[in-house]
Amino acid sequence: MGLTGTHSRRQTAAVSPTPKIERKPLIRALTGVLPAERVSAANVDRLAYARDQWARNLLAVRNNRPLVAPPDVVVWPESTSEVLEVVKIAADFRVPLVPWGAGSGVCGGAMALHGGIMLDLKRMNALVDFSATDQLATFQAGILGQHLEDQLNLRGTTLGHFPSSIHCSTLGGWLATRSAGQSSSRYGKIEDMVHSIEVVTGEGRVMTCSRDEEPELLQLIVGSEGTLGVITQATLRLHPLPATRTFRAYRFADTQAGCEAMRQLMQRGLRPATLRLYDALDTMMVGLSDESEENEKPQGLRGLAQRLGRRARVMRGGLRDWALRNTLSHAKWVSKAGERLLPHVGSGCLLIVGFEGDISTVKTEANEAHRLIQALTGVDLGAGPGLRWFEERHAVAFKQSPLYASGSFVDTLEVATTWSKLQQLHQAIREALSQDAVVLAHFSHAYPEGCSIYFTFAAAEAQHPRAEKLYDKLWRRGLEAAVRQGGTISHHHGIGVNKARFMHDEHGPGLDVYRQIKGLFDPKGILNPGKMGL
Amino acid sequence: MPKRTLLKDWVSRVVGAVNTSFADTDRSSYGELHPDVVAWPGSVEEISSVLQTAHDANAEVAVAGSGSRTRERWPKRNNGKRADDQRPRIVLDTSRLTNILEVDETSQLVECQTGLELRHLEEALRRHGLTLGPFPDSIFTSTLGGVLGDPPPLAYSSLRGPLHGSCLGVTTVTPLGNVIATRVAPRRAVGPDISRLYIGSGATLGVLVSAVIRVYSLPETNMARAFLFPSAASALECAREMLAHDMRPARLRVMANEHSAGEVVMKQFPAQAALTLVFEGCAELVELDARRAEEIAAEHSGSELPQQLADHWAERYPDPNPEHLCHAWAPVRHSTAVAAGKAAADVLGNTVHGISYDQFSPHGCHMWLSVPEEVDKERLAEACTSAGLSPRGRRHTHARQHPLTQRLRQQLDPTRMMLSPEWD
Repeated sequence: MGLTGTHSRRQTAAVSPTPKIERKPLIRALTGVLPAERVSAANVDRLAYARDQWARNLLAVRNNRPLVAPPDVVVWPESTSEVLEVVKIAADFRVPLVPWGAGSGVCGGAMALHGGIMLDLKRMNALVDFSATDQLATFQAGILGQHLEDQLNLRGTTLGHFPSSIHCSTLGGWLATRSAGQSSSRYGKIEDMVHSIEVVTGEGRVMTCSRDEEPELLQLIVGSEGTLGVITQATLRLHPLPATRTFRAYRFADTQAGCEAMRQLMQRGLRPATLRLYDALDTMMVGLSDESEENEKPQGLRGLAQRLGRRARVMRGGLRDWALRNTLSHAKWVSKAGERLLPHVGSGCLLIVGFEGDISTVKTEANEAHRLIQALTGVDLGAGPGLRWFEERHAVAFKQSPLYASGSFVDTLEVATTWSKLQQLHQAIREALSQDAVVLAHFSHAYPEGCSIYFTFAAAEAQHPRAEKLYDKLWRRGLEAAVRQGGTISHHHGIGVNKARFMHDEHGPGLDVYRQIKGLFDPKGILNPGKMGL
Repeated sequence: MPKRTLLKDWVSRVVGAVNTSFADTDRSSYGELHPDVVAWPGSVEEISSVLQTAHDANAEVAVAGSGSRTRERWPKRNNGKRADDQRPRIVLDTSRLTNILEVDETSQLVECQTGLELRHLEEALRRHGLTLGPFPDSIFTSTLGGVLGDPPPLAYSSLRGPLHGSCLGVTTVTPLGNVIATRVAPRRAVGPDISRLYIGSGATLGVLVSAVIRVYSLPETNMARAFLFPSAASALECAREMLAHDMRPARLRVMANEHSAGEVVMKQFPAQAALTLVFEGCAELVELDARRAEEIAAEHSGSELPQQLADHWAERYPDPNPEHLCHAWAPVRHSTAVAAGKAAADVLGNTVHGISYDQFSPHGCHMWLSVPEEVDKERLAEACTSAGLSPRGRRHTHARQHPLTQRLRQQLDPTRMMLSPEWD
């Protein structure tokens, strides 16, 4: 069983058909280098690894097709040398090998499109080395994000990397996809945090590269999504645990005014750990104030809209499903109405600013930010919204299932560009998506030169294959708009299968260089085939 | 192989007769290169055409910028072969590629061609209230292409990171003449970062034609501080703790006399170590950092040096690289920095003129050894090995050494057309 629909045919067309894999000799070879209990071709295991969290796969599951892309065999190595042996076997048998962390990727990057070996790294989860003096720690790549952070916290340090998937993603996955955490404006993305990596290439060699010795190779492997090698461990740059953390929220009339405050704040050299601006609709969904500690109680239409937003957030069961389906099935009209009404009845745009670190620095930076934002017409909303966001910051990913069950679907699209192009990019993608979906957006991951925009789009279509077609259409339109406006097609989710067809638009002839690099690292083409537009 | 005269004719047709030279005076101004043709291309299209021509003619191509660091390091021309057996040589001189293509004040980005000298770029940026960042003056005699193609070790600020790290995108021409323009975004998650392949490649993988660089607002204020410590260990520990406590000085250096004659900058403080700092940025943060620097230095037995000296070092940022001395440098971690200096000094004895530590991050720094030019190179190599200095650092270059990078070069430039400077 494979992927269906126009979208998938496009992706797989460039990949040469894999000959039928002879499972028995492959399993025999694998059990020669790994204990039998760490090699499985059982259907239950193959089912468990048949898809990652790509939203299109959830549509397949909803339509009773859970076996989207099953591997032939799953293995669980415990050391770099075992990974090396498995890679050598994959090369000898010329079968695909797909590295697997926690399977929470949202672009189909960890799917065994052509079967083969699924290499689950979760047993490689050790802290290998830690230096408090140098603020460096080496971990095996299969460690879960929260476990990694817990280990560092016990030693008085933090990585500063907090993706919303921190409970269900691994270090290897972060590095493979150039992941970003919610505090990236202060600590950077994972590619800024990595000092060195160890990788097993498709040639069957163990290679290490670092910022000091082979920086060019380090930045080739990071983000390569398992197409060049299997990342087995990494040394990371750490920070002392922050002594304090503060939040303050502000309301702006629109995203343009809010973005201007974000830009000036970053270019002034301040380093907020949290800097998030929600557009008007997203602000209504998030809510402007802490419900136990309201800073202002607007009256009239604006107050009503806020109260409705709060009610929608706590709605349960059938009533919510009914409301969702009806809202989303009229997405175009809902979007148009929202555009016209929100400026009058909406709550404006919420900006959350947070600082953490040394006490005196945090105090000075927060004061400086407050002065700057107020001068730019930001209305102070106090600490409430920021504190509430902090409490709920990892809960977002678990809200999808009810929406799918209601006959709708939702996905997120994250792009980035420079400040001077940001508003045009926001507008273009919003327009492209809102013909068939309800679109929310927030601006986060801000840098001195630009920012990422994180769109959430939801649409109603329960029937297969119409749902898949609508899903593909929305993605195509969104990414075409991103390319047209000069933005990048991904800020931190990666490419996988979903965005592969836009790799040429993103890289131009640079994609040929990537293909040549791939040829060197993986001459037999066994590593994660069918991904990244290669 | 076409005749050399034919090659000259082809190149002349691409870039124009006035931008091509076969004159001995021009050909002899590139050290040992002795090219057949010197071309001064003015656009990415011209460079692409010249490279395609060179490829068809099986010629060799060298890219020359200001030549400040490479002039004496090009591979020799004759190499023992008869003149007829040699491949024709073209020099692509980037001195016409000096345009600033765009200054995006909103995003604080500048796009410019790589033949532009950094001092001219800095002058232009200051007219917009912007700056490239806090780097030693010596950097500004280089071209942008030189700094990106072979990043000099001192182009680094603890506040901003390395200068080449500010490059967000490049336009480059491959040896086969293909133009690659990487998309500009603050960060991307779209596979390997191809632009990093070209930064530091010394023009062996292609010709860098233009780049988009992150720039910064001119600092609201700046403040220098200097402290004297009884030992290198206490000065280095103080520096480490400052960075661990969230301080980000624009410049930070430790000059250690403990194991050296201190003849570079510190003769007046024998057997001690000095730590110099420059803070810059918004006034409140600069004042806070300067105050905390004093507190942390005092905790490590550091005594503050006169403001006049701190300002002097800030204005004339001490260059550990004076011309009469020979140098080796390499990254070291905080935990090994003191031991590395001592190990090198044990091998070299009193010939060490200076040991300094620069390019600080919370995770380590770079150690510099300064010795007289006449010092025995094998002894210097032995000292470097004892100190654990990496080969790349010792070579004073980012020349590509990893076998995979070498093979990639072979793949991207199968006829080995692109020449690169040779380093010690």
